[in-house]
Amino acid sequence: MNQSKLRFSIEESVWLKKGQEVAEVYALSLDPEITITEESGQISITGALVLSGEYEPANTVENENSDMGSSSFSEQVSYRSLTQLSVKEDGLMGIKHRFPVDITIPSYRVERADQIMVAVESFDYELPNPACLELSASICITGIKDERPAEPETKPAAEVNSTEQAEYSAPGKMQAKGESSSIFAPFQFEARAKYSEEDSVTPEPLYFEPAEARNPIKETVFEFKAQGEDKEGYYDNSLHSLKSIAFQDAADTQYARNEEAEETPDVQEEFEGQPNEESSYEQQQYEELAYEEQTYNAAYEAHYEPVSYQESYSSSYNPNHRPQQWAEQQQWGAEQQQQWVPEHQQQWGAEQQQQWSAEQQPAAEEYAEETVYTAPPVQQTEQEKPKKSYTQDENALYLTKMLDRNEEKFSKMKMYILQRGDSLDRICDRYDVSINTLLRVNRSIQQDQVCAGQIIYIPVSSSR
Amino acid sequence: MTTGGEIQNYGPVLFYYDLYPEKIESIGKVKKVITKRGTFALKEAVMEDGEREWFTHVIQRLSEIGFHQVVPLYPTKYGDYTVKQGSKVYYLMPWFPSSGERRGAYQDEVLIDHIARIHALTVKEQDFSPEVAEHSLQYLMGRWESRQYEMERFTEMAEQRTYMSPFELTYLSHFHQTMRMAEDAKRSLNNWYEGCKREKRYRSVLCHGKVSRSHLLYSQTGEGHLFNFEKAVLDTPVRDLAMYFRKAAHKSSWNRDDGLSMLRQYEKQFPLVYEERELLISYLSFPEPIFNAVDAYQNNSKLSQIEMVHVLESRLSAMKRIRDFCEHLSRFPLAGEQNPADPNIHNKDGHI
Amino acid sequence: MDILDIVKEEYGLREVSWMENPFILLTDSGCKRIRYWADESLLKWHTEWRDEAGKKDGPMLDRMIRTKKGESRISVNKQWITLHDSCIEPFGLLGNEKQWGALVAKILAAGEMEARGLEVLAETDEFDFQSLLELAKPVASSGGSFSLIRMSLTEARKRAVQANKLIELAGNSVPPLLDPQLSTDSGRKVMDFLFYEAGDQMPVRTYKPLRRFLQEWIAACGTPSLKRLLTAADRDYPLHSEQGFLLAAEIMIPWELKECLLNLQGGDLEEAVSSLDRFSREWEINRRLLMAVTEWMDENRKKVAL
Repeated sequence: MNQSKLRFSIEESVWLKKGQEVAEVYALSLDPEITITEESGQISITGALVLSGEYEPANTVENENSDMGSSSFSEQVSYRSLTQLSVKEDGLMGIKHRFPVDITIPSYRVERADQIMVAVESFDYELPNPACLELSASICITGIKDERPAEPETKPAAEVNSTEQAEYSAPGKMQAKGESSSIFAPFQFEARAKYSEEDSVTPEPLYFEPAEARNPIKETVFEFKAQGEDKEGYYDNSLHSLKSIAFQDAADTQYARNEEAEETPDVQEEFEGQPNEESSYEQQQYEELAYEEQTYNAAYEAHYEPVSYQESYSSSYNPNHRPQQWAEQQQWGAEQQQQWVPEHQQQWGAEQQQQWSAEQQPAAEEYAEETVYTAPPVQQTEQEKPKKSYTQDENALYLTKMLDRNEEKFSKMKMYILQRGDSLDRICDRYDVSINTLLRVNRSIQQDQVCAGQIIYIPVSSSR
Repeated sequence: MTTGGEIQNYGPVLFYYDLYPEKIESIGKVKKVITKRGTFALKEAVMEDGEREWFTHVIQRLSEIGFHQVVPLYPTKYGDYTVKQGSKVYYLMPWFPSSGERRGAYQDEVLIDHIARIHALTVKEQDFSPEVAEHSLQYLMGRWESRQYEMERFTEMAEQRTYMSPFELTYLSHFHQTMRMAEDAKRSLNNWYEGCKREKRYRSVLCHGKVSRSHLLYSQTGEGHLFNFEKAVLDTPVRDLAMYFRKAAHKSSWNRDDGLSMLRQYEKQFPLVYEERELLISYLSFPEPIFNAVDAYQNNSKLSQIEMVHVLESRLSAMKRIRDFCEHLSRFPLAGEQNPADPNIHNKDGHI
Repeated sequence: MDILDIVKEEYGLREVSWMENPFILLTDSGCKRIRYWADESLLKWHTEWRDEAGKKDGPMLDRMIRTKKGESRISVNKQWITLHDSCIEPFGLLGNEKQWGALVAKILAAGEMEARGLEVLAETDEFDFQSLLELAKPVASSGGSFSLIRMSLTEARKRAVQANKLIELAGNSVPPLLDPQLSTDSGRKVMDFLFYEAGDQMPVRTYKPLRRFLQEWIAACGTPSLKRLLTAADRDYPLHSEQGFLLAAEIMIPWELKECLLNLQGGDLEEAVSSLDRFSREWEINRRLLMAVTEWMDENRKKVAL
């Protein structure tokens, strides 16, 4: 039998909150945390690709000002011994984000579940500007049987690419993988967003602001709305979790989460049995998209306007304003913000930050673990350690070792790799979605121009 | 005399020449360095950086213009002609055995011959500047007059004593003679000034600066070579001549004929012009050596009274020979041209 | 014609034989080294630089030995060769700070000589923290010994920022041209004086070579000796002002981290381990060096102020 690999690449842009721009990224890694389960003829690979790292925020650098012309040179011009340095340096920001992964493979394609291995083959990032991290990674799943042993060259790799997503309006721009790549029997990729307490789809709310704030891509706004509005607990923010919605707006996700904390236990169950409802609901959502986006943006701006107005007013119209007043105004602005979006959790200072986590702790028992992510970075690592102990290798996990992990609740988005002979209609039938929904979600698809190897996202309301 | 210490001291210098000495002997300011590769003379000198460069330039220039009777300098392995170590400067020459058997007038002839040739090879008509000439005149006149004044003061002091010292007595008995020489010197200096003003000329040559028999060495082949150009300078040729004659006149055996014959020897190659000869007379006449002796006496020289008297007496007699020489010199026909002050001379004696 | 014969003829040597073909000769004038030069302008610089340093009294550089005709080089087979003294006995460091200091000053002063005709200077490596981070990407997230790298990144950035401030402090001053092979290992003892065998590489306009030299020094002799060395050098070449700032800046720049990261790119485990080891050693030594240099500058500035 032939072992073959399943490779796919990820390209993501992560937008950082204002005031949290990156000066330098010191370390960034992408590690799989995966569980494998076998159930009714399907192998499920679930878990997340965990992006973690640390960076120095842009604003700290300028503060190191000292007058070198005076006093003792040797005191000013020095650096520390390696023994004085710690793993977590003061002033460093942590990044933590999980890219949910849910892949199902027919059991017959897998010889032994414990041979399945998910590895990050390559990982790289760039900083096109201080507020954006562009990630690119290549993920490889091994231990899957090749259906056709005669053909060793297997390339089911598909690119999920945020730029591609943005190109939807330009018809005909399609990424066509060769016909020969469709050698796999159909199986599914599912991308999920998890909402259990330890989940961190919202990566460190402290540090991130939604991409929408500066880069309002319609899809992401939609995602955002979906969470915020849907009080019944269907949180399909996984829609593009392998795309660009990596970091949600802190306020809203937290809001959603808080609600979830109260309602969660049965939410998922409720919806799992109702695929039809889900799809119609979605449709509705999509139709509301444009309107909601507007509302949201308007609201968003409105919230912030007073602050920026005050600032610009005092600086441009009252140049002689005494500094004290100016400070007061700033403070006022700060208070305003604080008052109206407590969950926004902008970093007003370490003290306030601490306060925040303290205040929020009693909110819900399940929430306790959430504070891990609002706490200062140092604590975070400590909290992270037990989880990391599962890993044998930094980049490769023997998945069966992870089976003892708690099952998590997911809402999901399936990724489907088109096979030769597939048609969109057939896919819609199989997954019970309307062609319109499919097309809305996959804006890059032209009905008559799908080809084998292409990845299609399929919204589903339940997994099993 | 050889000590390990000297080998140690000069080792770093000799490293520049890749010489590893077996023996070093001190002969005056010259070290005789004996190595497997031959025997060398290492000269120690004190020169500023500028002087070093000039010195090297002079040596190179002399051979370039065709004067080869210079004791050559060996370049270091890096192509330099001097080595600086601390405050001293060194240069290396071949070792020439001392000229023991060649004595007397012959040596002087060779010396004068070489000097004249260097002067002839390096002569340069300077652009005459009346201001510069007048400045030189005023400067020298002023100096001489203040010297005379100092000596008159000393004379007055001595005269007031009830008992004069033997030195003072000797000095006083020659005082008027000495002062007359000073006056002669001043008159000749004026003649020089008038002469160059009239002719609008001034010649400079490369002067050795330390013309002395001791700076003449003979090679294996017996050819005389000059060395020690450390004080070489561009100046009037009279500078070297005055130095030579003053030194020569100190020998009691020296007389005006020796002097005239040497001058004749010199002028074979480099005839002096009228005002240069006046300048020579002027330089030679001024009784500076006597004044120096008085200075030394006043400054409590280490010499005893009697030694001081001997020094003074020897200088007085040298001055006497000089005066005799100078008197003849002013009547001695010019080799190169008519004496404009005495147009008849040419007709009487003609050229030499 | 064989090189031996050419050298023998051109330099007027009597006995010439190889001691270490094709570099070291045994001659009747002692051991000589042959250097080969392909780049004429580089040769010219090294000749003039050594001659410039040789003008002054004190420690000697291995200047080009002249041929019989007084040439500093000879042309052989489309390249040039030069002849130098070659000595074996090393010149000690500790206790010889004065001589070494004088040598350092000489080398620095000669480096201010105009780089006439030297068309291409060796690339002066500009430190760029961004590219350092780029290099650090693959290892910064790894654990184990590699956590050392991540730990040092923040400090490295601070060092880079500080270094820039020092460079600003130096105003318009630029470092002299330096022989990149400056090393405490190249000093020889010739009759109790210091004879230095310099290199033959393209000179660099940075204090990096001196930084390495001083690292070697402080590792071997300690801080008090290093300060004595600086004092001796300062006598002939002022290091307590602008040039000192530039030197301190060069020491401040985390070059050792960059070097280590470059070594780690190879991926060889054994090499990685030794690179990390070297890195942490150099970080600490360099730290001592920086402390010594800045303390020395403080001591010097006080003297000036009083």
